[in-house]
Amino acid sequence: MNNFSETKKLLEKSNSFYIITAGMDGTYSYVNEHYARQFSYVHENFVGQPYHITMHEDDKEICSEVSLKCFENPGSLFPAIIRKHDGEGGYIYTQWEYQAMFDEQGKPEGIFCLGFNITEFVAHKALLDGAMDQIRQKSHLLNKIAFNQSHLIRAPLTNILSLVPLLQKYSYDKQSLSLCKMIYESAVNLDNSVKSIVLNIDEQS
Amino acid sequence: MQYKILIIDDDEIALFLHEIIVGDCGPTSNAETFSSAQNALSYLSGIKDNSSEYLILLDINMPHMNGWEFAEVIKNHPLRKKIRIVMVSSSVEKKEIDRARSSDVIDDYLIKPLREEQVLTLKGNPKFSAFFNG
Repeated sequence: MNNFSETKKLLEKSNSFYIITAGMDGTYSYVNEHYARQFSYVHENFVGQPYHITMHEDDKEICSEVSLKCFENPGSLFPAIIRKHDGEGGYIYTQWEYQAMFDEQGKPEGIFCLGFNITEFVAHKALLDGAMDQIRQKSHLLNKIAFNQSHLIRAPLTNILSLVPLLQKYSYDKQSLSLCKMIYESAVNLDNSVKSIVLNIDEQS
Repeated sequence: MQYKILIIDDDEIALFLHEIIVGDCGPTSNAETFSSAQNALSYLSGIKDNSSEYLILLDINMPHMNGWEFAEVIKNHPLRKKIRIVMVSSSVEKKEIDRARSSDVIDDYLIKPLREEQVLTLKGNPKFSAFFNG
């Protein structure tokens, strides 16, 4: 109990961390100032109120499961992410560490929870995940373009680049040779453009 | 010992061109051409003696079995020690060139269009010179 009292005292006026404790009857036995302020739109005085009044309905079960683990493993901390009502119809995300409390006779006394707001982190993570997804999709598309340029476009082009010199070899009139030269030069220019596209993609990968 | 050159490419024009270019560089025997990797494998499977060595000019992008898959099969082929593989591909992608360089079954990588100079360079390489007339 002493450890919990010290932590409560230390973080009573914290502007970052929430501390709550709930008794074995499932009601709040303590909330620190930050928690009380943050969720004042839910209730003015939490002590004696059911532990789940600030919680997203679906997260009550997580809370119960984690609490049970705490009693099964005295002295151990267990994490939980719990969504709480934001007072505007939405939710904020909170990260918690739970630990079971026992009285001096070793009888279960309740749950001690230390938490903080991770809504911004969750929002940034969602943005990052979305950005990573986009990067993966674009990278896949770039690889596909590089493959198509290399194999599907260059393959017939390289045939032209080989066929024209052969044609030149067997052409004897000046005009045909001149036409061959023009076809070859155009094909080389096109090939250089294709190679440059693949090279640029290679450099980005 | 006989030295044979096999050309594998699903593109008939490339096959025709490579046969001419290799032919112009003086191979010790006429090159055999295959329009699929499976056909070339069937040919190799039918060989019962050890009296020849093979230089395979192998395309990468082919349907059903591509050049990389063919090379994987050759890794464990009974004629493995008698076979040299040179990739001949239109791909200029670094990852494919690096993959060929790091493979222990691919001996060289040539970028299409295959030119006589590239084949003459092969001819000048002691690894491949036996496949061509001095």
